[in-house]
Amino acid sequence: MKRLIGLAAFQVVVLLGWAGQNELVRATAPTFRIPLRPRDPHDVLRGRYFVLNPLDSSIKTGDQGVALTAEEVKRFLGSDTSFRGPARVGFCPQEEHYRICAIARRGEALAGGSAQHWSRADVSVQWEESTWRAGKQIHDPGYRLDIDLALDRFFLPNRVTLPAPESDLGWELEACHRPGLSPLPKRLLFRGQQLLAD
Amino acid sequence: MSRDQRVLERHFRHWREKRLLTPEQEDALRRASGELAQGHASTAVKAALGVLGGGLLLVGLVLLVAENWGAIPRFVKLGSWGALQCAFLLLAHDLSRRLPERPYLAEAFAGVAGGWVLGGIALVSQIYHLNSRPPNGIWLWLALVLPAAWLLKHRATAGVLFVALTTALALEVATDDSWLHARNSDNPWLFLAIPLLTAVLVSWLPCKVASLPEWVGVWIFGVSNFFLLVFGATEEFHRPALALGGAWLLAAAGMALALAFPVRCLPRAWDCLTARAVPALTLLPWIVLGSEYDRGSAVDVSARGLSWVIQLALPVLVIRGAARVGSGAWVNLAYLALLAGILTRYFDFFGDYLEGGTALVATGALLLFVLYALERARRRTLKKEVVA
Repeated sequence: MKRLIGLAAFQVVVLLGWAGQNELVRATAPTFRIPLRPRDPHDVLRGRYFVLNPLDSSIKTGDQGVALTAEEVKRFLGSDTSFRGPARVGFCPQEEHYRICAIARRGEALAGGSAQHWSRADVSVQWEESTWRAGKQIHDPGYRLDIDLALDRFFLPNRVTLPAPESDLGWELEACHRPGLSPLPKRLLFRGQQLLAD
Repeated sequence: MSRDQRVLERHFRHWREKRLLTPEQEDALRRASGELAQGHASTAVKAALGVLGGGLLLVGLVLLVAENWGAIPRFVKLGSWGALQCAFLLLAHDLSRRLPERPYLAEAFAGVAGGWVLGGIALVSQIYHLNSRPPNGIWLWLALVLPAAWLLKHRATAGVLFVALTTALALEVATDDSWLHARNSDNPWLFLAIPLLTAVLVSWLPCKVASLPEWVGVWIFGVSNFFLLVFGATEEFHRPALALGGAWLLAAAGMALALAFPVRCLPRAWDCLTARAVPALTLLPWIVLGSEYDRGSAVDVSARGLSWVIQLALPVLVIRGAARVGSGAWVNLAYLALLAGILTRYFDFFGDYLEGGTALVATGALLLFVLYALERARRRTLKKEVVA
């Protein structure tokens, strides 16, 4: 019987401890809102979920609304012409949201000006001379950044009715800041209104 | 005829030959054994019902939570998970003591307890929207269930661990950032090596799943025949081991363990020679292949020829081994594979010439003759008229 109690305690304590640690982060960590461009797929195994697709997951310096400057990326790259790997990205307040405005290598001193929250991300950076818009290639030099913040999915109950189609502008995610880690999703909002009760 | 009855039949035959049994005694013994067989459902049925019942219970609970996700507060979800996990473990432990004559009930709950741990991991991931690497979730499952192999000592736990380890390794192979990632797995290496590696590792647990080597054997035999058949016929799946990347470690470990401990991972109906030969011979054409299949290369063409020969040799080896130990199921399966191999090779070689009535009549007659000859050989093998 002692063995059985030990086994049950081990399994339950580890799993509930994991949940408790996430609960602690949700309760105590500072939060910030990230604008999204989500999709709303459904699969049999995972159920219903948003593919969060943060607005800053694929950006080009100089584009409208992008807070990250070419000078900051140039400073990040140093003598390199491109980069691919884990890095840290800093978020700056921009109106009601936070946008990526700074980038640093792992171990580098964090000096991103007005960046308030730094998170881990997998980043790829490369120079791009032109871009495609409405089926036309136009001259538009700048750095192209693909940033994976590990904010992939937000699970939704099957019965939830969305206030607007997922393609509408105004979807945002309130995320908890975890220093050195990727942000932890907390709430899904549409134009400032929380989608699900806590 | 059940497995027990087949064994009994073999012994009756042997005792008759030794003149130890009179017809009256044989009749009386048959009647007595018949009553016993009627009174008990077969082991396979009990095991299947246990797995089915446990699986349905698990799926039903998961769906119950999913359907009422919004209505159940997250602390209630987590608390219910913990309470149910304790209940499943207690039932697995208690039923094995209280109902020792019905071990499948305790085994079913041990299996449910193992599966419910994965349900708990999925629950925490969904509540907090965690997006970790999928293999990490499976490794956590494995780590949490592993102590149960020593503490609970149920066969179902070993089955859960086999599933967890196989899934974790398969996901690592498919995950880009893993050091076990396979750049290309269009060859039989990993399809053979991962189940063999897992089966050997699980066989060292204190409680084993007796039927696991049989199932692994069915998988290995099926995979061998499939890859050899397709490679031989259409020149597909010709990526050599060089394309495996970091996953060659898994391939090497799986093959080394299978060759060292064939009895631990492959059916008893295959003798040691057959058990070692089946995976090793299957891989031989891929060992011979260069960096890429080239129709103009003599070595690569010989590798393809080798696959034709091996595809026919493997069933013969299995028939030989299975006939020795009197395994009718394996004899039948291997004859089926032999027939499939002969038919594939025939249409592979002569398919282009099958035009006109004469060719089709000749083909039909030949196929009927092959079918007759194989069926005759199968019956003789089962009756042990052919020396294995």
